[in-house]
Amino acid sequence: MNRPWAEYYPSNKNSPNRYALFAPPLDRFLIVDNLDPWLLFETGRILSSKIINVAYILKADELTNENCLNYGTEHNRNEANYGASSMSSIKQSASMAFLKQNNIVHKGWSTEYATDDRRQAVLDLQEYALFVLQCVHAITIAESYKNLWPESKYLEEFFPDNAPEEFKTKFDPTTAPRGMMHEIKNILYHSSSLQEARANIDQAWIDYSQTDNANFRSLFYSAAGITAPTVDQNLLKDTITFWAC
Amino acid sequence: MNEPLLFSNIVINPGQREFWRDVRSQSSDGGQFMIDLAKKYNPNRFVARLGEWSLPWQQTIPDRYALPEYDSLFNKTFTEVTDQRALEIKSLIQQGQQFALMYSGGIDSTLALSALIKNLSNEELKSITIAANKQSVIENPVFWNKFIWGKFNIVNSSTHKYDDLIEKGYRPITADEGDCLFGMLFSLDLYQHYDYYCETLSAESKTNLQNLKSKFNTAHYSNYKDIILKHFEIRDSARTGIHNFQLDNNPEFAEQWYAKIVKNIQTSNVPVHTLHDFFWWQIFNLKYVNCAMRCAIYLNDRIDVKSVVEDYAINWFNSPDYQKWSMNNNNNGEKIVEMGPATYKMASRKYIHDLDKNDWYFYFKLKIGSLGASVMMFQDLSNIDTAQSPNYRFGLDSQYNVLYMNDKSVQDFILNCMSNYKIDW
Repeated sequence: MNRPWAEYYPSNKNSPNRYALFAPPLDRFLIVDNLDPWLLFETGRILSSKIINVAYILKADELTNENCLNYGTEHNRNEANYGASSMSSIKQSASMAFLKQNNIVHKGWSTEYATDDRRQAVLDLQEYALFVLQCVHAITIAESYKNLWPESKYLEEFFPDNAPEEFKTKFDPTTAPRGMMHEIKNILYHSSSLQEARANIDQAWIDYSQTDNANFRSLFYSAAGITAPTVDQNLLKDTITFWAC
Repeated sequence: MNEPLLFSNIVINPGQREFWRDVRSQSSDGGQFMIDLAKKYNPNRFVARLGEWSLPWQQTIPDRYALPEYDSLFNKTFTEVTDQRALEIKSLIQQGQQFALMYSGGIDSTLALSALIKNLSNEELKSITIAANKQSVIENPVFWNKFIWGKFNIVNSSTHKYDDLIEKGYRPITADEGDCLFGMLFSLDLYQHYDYYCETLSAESKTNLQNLKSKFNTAHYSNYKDIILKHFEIRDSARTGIHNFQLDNNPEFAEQWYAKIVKNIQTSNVPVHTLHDFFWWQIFNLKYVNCAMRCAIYLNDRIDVKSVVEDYAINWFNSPDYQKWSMNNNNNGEKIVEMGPATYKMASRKYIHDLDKNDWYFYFKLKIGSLGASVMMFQDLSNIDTAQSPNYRFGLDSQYNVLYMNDKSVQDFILNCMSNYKIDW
């Protein structure tokens, strides 16, 4: 998989996978990553609308996104404490835990998902999870580098009750009501398929990035490694020229 | 307390830990077993609706929760039974009644709401209020967006207990007995740990059980006795955290618990054959009354329990047809397809999917213990005398009066019963 976003994590990009999303319904690892545990956790948070999951910090050099659906955890009686399938201890919201290497075992494909339709559902889910991870990295990078006007976010977080609500507008260079970070994550949380998510993300950028003179949108697509939709250049407002006047 | 109780509860919580520790030290072998059972399945509210089953005290089953006669010819489908249940609510709405559905976003309450949406008119649905909380929203976000938000009146279930709802004019509907019907609650943990348990057994037993793994819904449960006993063992590590209840373990406990269940099975006339059946029976017969009555007892501080049980609360799954369906559909893929949690309650998953078309939920929804995790833990107890708080409710006498652990006469009653109760199975 081509991962342009990995360039932004120079110290980690060639390291073994140290982070994984574990999916209790599958009793297997859904995806693994080597770049950033907090963004993997954020991926888990978004993915919790589809499946209960736990973000594990682990040490398992053998895990890849090609084989992790065949690996799970050794079940010992303490597993409930860190969020596996023991029912009474799980919750829908994402959680995070540390997993020792010797808890990881090869289990093969889940027998609960052996039929064609159920196997495909798992593969679709993994594809969706990887897309979410891709977008979370990309929007975080784009936001960090290209959001020149994040002041409303400051007001929302640090002045929730002591600044006029009307100040809390324009969260980034776009016209997205609560900013593109919020927009992208909401699309991913609520979409029913990868195709729907991809289409809605493209549409959101088309709809909201007409004032984007900071190349916020461009960096999102390039960091994500996906092709940006063609936009009618006539729709884009030349805001810098406007301000220069 | 000379008459049979209607409900009893041995629960190990911080307020009662010392009491039960003292009682155990003065109990006979049967009394000690009962407390160990609470340690294993905190709380211990097991009582049989059918078959032989002794308790330290006399206890009877309220008529409305009695087990219907087993009917091997019963052939209604799950969909037919579910639709019928919704039509019964429809009829009550047409009589002017208002309802509050306790909605968690889990499979059971989503099934109930799906059935109501499917079978009631938009006008009739105005008589349904959704009692939900923030956990309900994220447990099933698709259903929330598509079918609830903007379409129903919503009240906060974390701040509206049964008494609050009833005082506002609603009859509470709960789907709290779904696990009893589908019968997996006590086996899922075993299924998840099956391979792990096998590793701890003898080579012969391990080989035998690995060969039996795929036959959990065909082979007789007695073939799995070794792993059932392993599953029944009490391990201190399983009861850390909020329970933090340490006692000397009884090495005979697992065998005693297994024997008690087997005796009950053998003295009942309902087919219990497979490993799945064994655990289904453990909850369908032995935990049903708990699931049926706990909300009326523990989510209600002001209204007399008898009135709540008989006049107000509706248990969605407590119909004769649902229970007959449950007794006739154990190993055919309606309840579970493979050994594990992902196909649990398959009949309900299909019913919901027919309405919401949500593949994610259908394929990946996992059971969450919503009642304890998201409702009871967040109850506002500031207006309740500590001595009468839910944590101190031991049971119900024959007149539905709540018995409190802080009452000396209740304590004496318990101690007397536990010290005289001997293992008789």
